[in-house]
Amino acid sequence: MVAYWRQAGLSYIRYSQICAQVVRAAMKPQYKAEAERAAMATVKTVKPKKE
Amino acid sequence: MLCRGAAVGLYQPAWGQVRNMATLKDITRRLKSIKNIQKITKSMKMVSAAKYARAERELKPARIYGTGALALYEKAEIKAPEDKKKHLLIGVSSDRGLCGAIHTSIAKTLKNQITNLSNAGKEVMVVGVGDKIRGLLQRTHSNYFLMTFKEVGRRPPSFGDASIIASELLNSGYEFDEGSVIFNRFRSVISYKTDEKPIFSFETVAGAESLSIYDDIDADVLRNYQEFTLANILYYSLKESTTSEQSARMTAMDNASKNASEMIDKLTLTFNRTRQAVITKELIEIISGAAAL
Repeated sequence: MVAYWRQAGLSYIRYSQICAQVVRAAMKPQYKAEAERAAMATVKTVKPKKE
Repeated sequence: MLCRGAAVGLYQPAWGQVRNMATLKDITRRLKSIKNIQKITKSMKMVSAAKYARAERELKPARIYGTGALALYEKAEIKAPEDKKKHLLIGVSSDRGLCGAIHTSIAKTLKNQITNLSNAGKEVMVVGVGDKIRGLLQRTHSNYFLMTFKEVGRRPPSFGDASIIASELLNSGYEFDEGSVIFNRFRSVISYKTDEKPIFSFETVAGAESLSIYDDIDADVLRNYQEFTLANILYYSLKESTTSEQSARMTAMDNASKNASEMIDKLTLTFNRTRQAVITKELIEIISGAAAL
């Protein structure tokens, strides 16, 4: 009984991120601005260079 | 000092170890620079205090995420079997310094863990959240690094950050059996403690015997829960770490300001003494010059 998004290749984290984005897009403008600000993600990945 | 040297029988050369009396200009310059530094550290303390207040406010709901996610592991007493080889260490810190012993405590714990696990024959990989961890461990343990995350600490962490980190870990291709997150747990304004929380792989959890007492658990639910728990634990550790860091920076900048005030007081005294000495010297010259007439 695998979920449809799992079959499409998404992980649960990616699935919940997309759901949260949809919810934020559906909010009223004054709440939307707050939610967008709270949800900003700024982390960047640095992979060590393989010699 | 002459008689002491004679008693010991030491020969003190007359031209060594003699320091010139600092001129008024030197002392003035030094005083000005220390006053500037004190202003800077004071303002940094104010900024950290504001950030700390916000971080502590956001920590309260975040703790619920973390404790909830870890509750299953604790209640079901899930432990990784001893023969598992692949271990993952995640050190959570930040990019910015001037916060006391935050980064070094994490790096020390990581180094100890790496040594212990390598001696036990396990394969270890390290993930650093925050540039400082990479900087501290790069010299000696650079071949243990799986990846690093930067731009941590500039803004308060969000669940989006934790999700990005968790996704990168799951997609990294390193199939770890067991792991731990090492972070600074916030206890109070003046104290934090380096803490370690476990993370388990999907196979370990699925293989635990006590899981049979839970209802409606199949592989799919468990896999979803695993992924979500990873993001939860990372979010919790990020929040705790940020709060500890801001409180430590506040303390460090406060101490720096106090030290700078002490130095300013001492320097002001030497400045006044030097000024009076200069005036006295000029007076003596004038008087002796007038006496020669």
